[in-house]
Amino acid sequence: MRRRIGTFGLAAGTVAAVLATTACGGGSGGGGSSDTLVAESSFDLQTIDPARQFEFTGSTLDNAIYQTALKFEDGDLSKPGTGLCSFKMSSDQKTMTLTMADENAKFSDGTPVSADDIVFSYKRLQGIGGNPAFFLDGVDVKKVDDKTITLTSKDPNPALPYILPNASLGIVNSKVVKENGGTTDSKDKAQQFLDSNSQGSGAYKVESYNADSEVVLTANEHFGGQAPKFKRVVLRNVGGETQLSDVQSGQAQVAFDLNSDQVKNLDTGQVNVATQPSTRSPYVFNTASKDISAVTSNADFQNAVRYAIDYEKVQQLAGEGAQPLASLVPNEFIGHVPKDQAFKRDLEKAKDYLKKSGYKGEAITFNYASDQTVNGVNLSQLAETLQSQLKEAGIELKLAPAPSSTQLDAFRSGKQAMGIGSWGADFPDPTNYLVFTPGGTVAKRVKWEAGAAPEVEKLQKEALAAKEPSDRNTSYSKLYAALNKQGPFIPVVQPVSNVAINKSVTKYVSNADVSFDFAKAE
Amino acid sequence: MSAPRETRTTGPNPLHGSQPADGTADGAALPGNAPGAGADAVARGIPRWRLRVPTALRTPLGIVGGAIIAVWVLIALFAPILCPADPLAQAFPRLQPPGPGNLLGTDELGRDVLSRVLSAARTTLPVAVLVVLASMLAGSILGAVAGYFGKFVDEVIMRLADLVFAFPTIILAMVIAAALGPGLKNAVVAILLVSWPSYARVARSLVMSARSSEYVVAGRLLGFSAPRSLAVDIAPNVASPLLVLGTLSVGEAILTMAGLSFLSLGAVPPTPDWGAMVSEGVANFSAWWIALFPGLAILTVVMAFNFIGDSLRDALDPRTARTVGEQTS
Repeated sequence: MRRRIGTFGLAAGTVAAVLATTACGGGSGGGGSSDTLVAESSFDLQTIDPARQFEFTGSTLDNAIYQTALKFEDGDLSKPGTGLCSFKMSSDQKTMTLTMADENAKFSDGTPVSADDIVFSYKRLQGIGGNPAFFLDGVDVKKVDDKTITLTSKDPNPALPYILPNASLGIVNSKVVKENGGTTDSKDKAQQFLDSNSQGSGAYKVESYNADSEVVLTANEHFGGQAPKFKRVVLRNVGGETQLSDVQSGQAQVAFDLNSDQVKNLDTGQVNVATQPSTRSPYVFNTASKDISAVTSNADFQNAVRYAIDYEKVQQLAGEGAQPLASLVPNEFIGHVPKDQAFKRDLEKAKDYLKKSGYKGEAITFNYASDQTVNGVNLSQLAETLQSQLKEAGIELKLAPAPSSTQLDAFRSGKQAMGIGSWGADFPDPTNYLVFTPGGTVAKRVKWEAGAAPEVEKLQKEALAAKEPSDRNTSYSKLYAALNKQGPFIPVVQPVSNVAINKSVTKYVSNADVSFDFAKAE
Repeated sequence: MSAPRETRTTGPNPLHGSQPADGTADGAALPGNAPGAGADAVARGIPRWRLRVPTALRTPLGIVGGAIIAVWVLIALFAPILCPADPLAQAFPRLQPPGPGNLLGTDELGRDVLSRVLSAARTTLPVAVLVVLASMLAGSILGAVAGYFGKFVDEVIMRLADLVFAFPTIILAMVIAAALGPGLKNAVVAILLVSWPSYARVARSLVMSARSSEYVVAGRLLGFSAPRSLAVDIAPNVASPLLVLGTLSVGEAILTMAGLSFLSLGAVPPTPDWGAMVSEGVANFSAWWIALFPGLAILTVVMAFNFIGDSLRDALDPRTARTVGEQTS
């Protein structure tokens, strides 16, 4: 399970909502003065050092603090475009040339952003070797001149434009960071400094930082873009139920973690809801190893499970806006499989496959993280729902809940026969899902080794060879459709991500890239 | 403190007859002796224990507690008949508030809350009683051995008990349950491991007091072995306070189990469990009925066992009984 891209979800386009102030809105309520925006989230904050952070809260904050070389145009994640730089890919997709494009960009101390800062930021990310370091694995970063940087990969790397907008690749003020222990190797000691003294060129800078309770941002007076209306942003660590009452009462203007049932109960006279399709894909996994389970490794049994799941009911559980998922790739990414090709429940087929599999009704241990929620889909509830649905086809599941850390370790050990997993996109490109192909990182966890599915592997080679976006879209779509039919993974639903916004905020931008843009709220 | 009991006149040990028979003297000040009633009972040749329980339950608290437990026991026994729906069936619309179709509403998966609350009694009550009996047995034996033999044995057992006492009960139970993995069986083991020291401490102090009693010393002089002395002479006289402690602990065991289930360390879904249901409800305050009714079930059962425990204590401790009697007369 990995971090979501950007801040939250992904949508086809930008939802820019311009709302008239209504009588029920009125100012910022109890949330603070009119130039302060109070937002609430359930923290998973470790750090806001961009080269180290790999969590949702860190990404949310870094999106407001740091600018990136590229960004998605109008939040459309299929269109990476100009940020601090414009870009050009070589025809062999191995070299990306970045050209400095934003002359107004300045760090919070007034220093202009330079090519040196970009090179330092990328090399620091690689050198530290933290969680987000894999973004630039095998990429050689070089400054050509004061305006130009090249990123060279050994193999074709068409995903790079989709990677650079990630908040972990935010550009830091190299001079100040170096003065405070920043290096481009593992000896870097700038994390603590950057947590309380952010060095970005975004709309905000850090005023105070407490990873357990609250982070306060203030406007960066040297920001090159339009100055934000809210001069201070307070992001508080609060549970979902408290967020619900706070955003309704006006104690907070933005609530990030409401599930679909909570959203249903919101007073629409007080609160707007911005809904985005999630980039997280919950799936059922089966082992491919007969040694671990002769039952769940059987292809007929896996097909029985595919047809036994009542996907419509699972969508209802995930809440309004949830979509069918025809492959592990979210419906808005290039390379996804059209959702009308998603499996549908067919109990007769399920029973036929089950009969062919030789399954004799033995209970199968079904593993999942009981404390995990995937964009409002509580995995405990999902497991109980699947147990009930599969029972109708004659499959007995014995639920085996575990805390998420325990479950993740056990899943990684590759010894589980069946269970629920989830994958959050690190960047919006189909290459991020190659981990599910035979021999891939996640495929190995279910013992689906290289050579196990020649047809899938052939399609994978074709997809990797594709260069043009339309070719890539087609070839990856074929690959993931085949994976969905032959592989041991069964995607169950594409959940939704909800952001509740008190109507005292009259203008906001919520889109695929940034589910709530603090700088553009009014 | 020890409590010479009715068995001294009716039991097989003739030495028991050497104890005061009228329930007065030093015996009257000991818990377990009910002065007057006990003496009358002995005088009439009726075993005293047959009168004690009804006496204990004759208080208003005892009657209320007993009635509530009786109701829950009946519910547990007849749950399959009483449940209006299959407690596991996701057969109704999700999150329906209490109404004619589903008297206590439905949960997030469309299951009938009433059926789940009633069915959960079949898990919670027997398991809670089992846990208490097991910890009472284990703690009492260990405490008795420590108190009887003293010295090294006492040191080892009681330091072990201190070690367990050093941790907050629920935290230690959580750690053990997390290490063993979720599940009812493991939750029972976890609660057992954290609850035996209370019984061990009480049993130890009672046995230390009783072992120097004349009837115990006399038995040893006659050549009784240590186990026989513990089982025949001492055990009957230290059982009452342990019984009171056990009754009071049933509620505590239910709460600990509910706590573990709340943290997903107890009963494995979809088994209906009050603690797990409260946990589900907490994530959805607006569907208040999901947590409220199992919460009320926990409240009533815990309260009822505490009422019975209090009544037993009042009845078995003559000083308390006297005070209560004076207040009510």
